[in-house]
Amino acid sequence: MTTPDRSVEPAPTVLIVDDDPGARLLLGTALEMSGFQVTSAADGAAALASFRAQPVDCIILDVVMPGMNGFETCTALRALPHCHHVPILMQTSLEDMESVNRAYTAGATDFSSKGINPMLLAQRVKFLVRTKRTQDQLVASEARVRYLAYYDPLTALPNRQALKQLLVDQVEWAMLRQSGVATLMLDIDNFSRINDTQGPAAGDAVLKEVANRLQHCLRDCDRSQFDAGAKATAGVIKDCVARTGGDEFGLVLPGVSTAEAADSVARRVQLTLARPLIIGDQEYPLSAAIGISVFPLDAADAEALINNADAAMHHAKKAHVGGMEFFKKSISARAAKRMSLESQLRKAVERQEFVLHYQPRLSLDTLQVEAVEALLRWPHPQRGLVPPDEFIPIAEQSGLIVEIGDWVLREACSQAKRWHDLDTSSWQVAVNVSGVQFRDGSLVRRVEDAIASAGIHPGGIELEFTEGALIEYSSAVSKAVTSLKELGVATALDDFGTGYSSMSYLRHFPVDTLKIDRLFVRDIASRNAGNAPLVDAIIAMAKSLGLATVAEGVETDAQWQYLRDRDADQVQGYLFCKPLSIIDLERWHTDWLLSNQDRGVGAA
Amino acid sequence: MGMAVIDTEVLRNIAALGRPALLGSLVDLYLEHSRPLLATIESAVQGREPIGLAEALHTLKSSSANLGGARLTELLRECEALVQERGAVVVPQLARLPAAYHEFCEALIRERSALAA
Repeated sequence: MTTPDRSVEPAPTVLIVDDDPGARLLLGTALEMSGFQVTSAADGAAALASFRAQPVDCIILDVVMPGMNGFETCTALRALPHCHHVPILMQTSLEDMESVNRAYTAGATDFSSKGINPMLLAQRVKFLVRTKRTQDQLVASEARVRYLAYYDPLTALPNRQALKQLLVDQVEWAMLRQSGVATLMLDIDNFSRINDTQGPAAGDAVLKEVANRLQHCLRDCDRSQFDAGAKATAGVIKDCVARTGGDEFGLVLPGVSTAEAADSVARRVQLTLARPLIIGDQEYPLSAAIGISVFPLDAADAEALINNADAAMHHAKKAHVGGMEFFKKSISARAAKRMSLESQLRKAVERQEFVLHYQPRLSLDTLQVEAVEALLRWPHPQRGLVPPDEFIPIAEQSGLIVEIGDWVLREACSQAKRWHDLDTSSWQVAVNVSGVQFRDGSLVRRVEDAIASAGIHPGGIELEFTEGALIEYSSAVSKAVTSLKELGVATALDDFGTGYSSMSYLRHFPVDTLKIDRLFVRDIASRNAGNAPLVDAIIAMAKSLGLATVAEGVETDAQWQYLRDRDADQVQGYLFCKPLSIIDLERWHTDWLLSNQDRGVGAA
Repeated sequence: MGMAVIDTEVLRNIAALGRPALLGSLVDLYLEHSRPLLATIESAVQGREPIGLAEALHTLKSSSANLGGARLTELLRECEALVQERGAVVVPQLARLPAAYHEFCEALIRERSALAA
């Protein structure tokens, strides 16, 4: 009767519950003959005690017994730990359908009639146990698959997938309770060096130790930060450490809703990691870059939380190579926002979502419009107008500004041509150029192309660039400005006064115009006009160099009067006109001419 | 009532288990535990007091069936059904029980001695 698997599987165990000692002996013998290890009980109470002391693979239960009957015993057994899935065979009378039904209701797996050939019954029990074992194996292999899908075998920590799953639940939990959850992403510094020089076994040992230390980092003191509501459901909240990649780990801290609280955990993690790590006779210095994101401050869902923390971690890594890396607060949010804006910006370039608005520059003498400054606007399909100081730095950092700048140039030149052809006005169109556009040395050619394809006179365009660009790309800018001058294109130095404002710079960069920054213009006419002498000096200096001056951000009559008295050349600002779309600008201009006629200043 | 006192196939099944002492032990256990059950049944009938009657009938039926007591088991099954159905102790079949029981016990003792010989 030996089966091949007998050697690997332990003998199945069975509990016989029957008040009749003859029945116990007969059935017990038959089951022993079939390879079972048999225990028996004479009543329900004894059966429960027996199972509690020693769980079995199968139970055979008589119905009619003194004390608890078989049905009651069956129900009570099912309530025991580990007995939920144990096959229970009830010995009912076959002719009694009602007791068969009651047996199933009480939780029995199968039934048989009493007095059946004991060897047949033993075979039936064997079948039940084998079916159960097959099921168990199936469940176990499913669990194994699940384990492999969600756990890292080296450290036995959850993996990235599991962390994400957990975070989804925790975010939901935090949302319901108006609480928070912090995510820390952590990257071991110089791990590849350990792996490369000491071998993968040392690397694995380091990872296991890091896993171990991180698990010990999550202590009760973190939980003290939970609010009262969170404490009440302490069973739901659980700090979690996961291995999210080769040398990357992630921590999820439910209930941690402030950057400060997350910061203190991050610092403790750093301290724990900094303890000397000795493997074999080798000491390894350990440190990590940590990125943090906090729900709901930095992201609204699990995926964004992980991405933000990842981005912050990479940022931290870049900021300090090697050594101890302190965590950076809210980089995550900035980095993620930046990344998202950058990808939207790319789409905007593809879809040509940009438009130009124009703000007039007026002669201080005649109040005639002499030039218009083209200003880039991004009407985002969902967000509406995105502030330029939000997207332009990203366009510059990503290099997208070159393509966008090219479009601005071409669009501004075409518009200059349209206005020229209308013959009502021959306005110079000023175009802002980023320092980045000077970088590859193609700016002059691009300007030439734009002018040529629009068919305008080069003097119809003025390029504006900032002092910052001038300093950062000085040689490229110097070369470009000289070429542009030769070409006949006008140039202006934007935001003058905010940078170095050095006379010597101006000698190296033969620009035509200085634009006085709005910051200085703002308080020139007030009582404590601290910047007034500076504005006076800029105008005087410009005159001595033969440069024209444009005052930006003119908003009041007093400012206008002041600048007129100092003999500045042009003014630009909300006092006259804000940046407008083409149609609005033309409409404004018509009105402006009429009102100037009324005032008698229009004829120049 | 053409049923055999002992269903020999049941005894053969027990013998097939390959434990020579098993039948002797089972008979001993039966004789020991069935007597109080019969006593319970008899006193219930005499005193017209149904307490414990149904349970005793059922247990005696199961034990007797295990040892192949076909005729006794059948009688017990009838008694059990009638008692359950009428909820009373006045069942004519009950009067036939002691004789059937003793007949089965004697048959068992014979089987045991035959086995021991």
